Amino acid sequence: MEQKDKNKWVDEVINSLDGAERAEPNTALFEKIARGLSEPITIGRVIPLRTVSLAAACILLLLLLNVLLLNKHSVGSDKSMQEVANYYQLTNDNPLYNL
Amino acid sequence: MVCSNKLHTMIVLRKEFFYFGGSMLPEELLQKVISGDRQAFGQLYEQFKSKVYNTCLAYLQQENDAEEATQDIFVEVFHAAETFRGTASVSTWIYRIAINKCLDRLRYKNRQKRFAFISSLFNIETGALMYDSPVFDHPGVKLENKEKAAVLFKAIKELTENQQTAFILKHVEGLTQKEIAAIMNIGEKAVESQLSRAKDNLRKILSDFYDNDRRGK
Repeated sequence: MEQKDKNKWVDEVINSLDGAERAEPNTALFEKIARGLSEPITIGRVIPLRTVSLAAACILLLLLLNVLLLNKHSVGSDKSMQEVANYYQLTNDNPLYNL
Repeated sequence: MVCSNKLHTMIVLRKEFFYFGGSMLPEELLQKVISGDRQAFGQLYEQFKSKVYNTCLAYLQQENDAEEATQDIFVEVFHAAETFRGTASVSTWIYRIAINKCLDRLRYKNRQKRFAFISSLFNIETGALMYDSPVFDHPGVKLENKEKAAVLFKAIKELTENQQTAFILKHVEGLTQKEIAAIMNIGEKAVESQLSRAKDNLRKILSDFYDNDRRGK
């Protein structure tokens, strides 16, 4: 019974636009359109300043993070290079051929 | 010879009928619009304003949005008139512009909603809280059907773009499948398929609405 009620309701909803009339736009709309014809055409969409600012802030943040990470990496790499050199006895402290 | 004379007479009579009524054929009006004739543009607007506005209303489901979209559409019709190649009718061309504008607006609205967590929910200019109107009351719908129509419009929002377009053009604009096929630039069988899928999906969506409503009670 409930399924029958449901189907009936669904059918009524789908057919609810039957006999509907076309709505008319505001009578002053054409004046707005006529005014709009005289304005210069904007090619593409105007991007709000807010969006541009947000994007710029994100890029700056990413650059800053990159700079910080690079700095940290370069300090560490000097130390690690020295360790490698010592391990393979590549320093001048141990001259093999001292004639 | 007699047949071609009759045909010529019919065309002349048809033209005279239109001229007597003060309205020219859309193709003729568009030619005049290309040369910047604002009066012709006004007549073109009168011929198509209801069709365009109602299409926008069905997609955007807000009267202010629909008016703004209608404004954009007719401004584009004016500026793009010289690009009209005549491969389709003027009506088909205008409907296409209208649909593309409406779909662009809907996509923009959906993008705004998606990024709402990082942007303000308040209107920058007025400071008012921006929100989606939950119930759409179409001004042309019969009083006894208003409540159900509002539910239908809510369900239409859940369809894919093609299914929305096919359904709106068929059931809101009352176009034939041939006309819809020309506007959507697909075959009539494809239109039939879109309409069938739209209806099936609407039935599922509406069934869910019904069940949720019952559960809520």
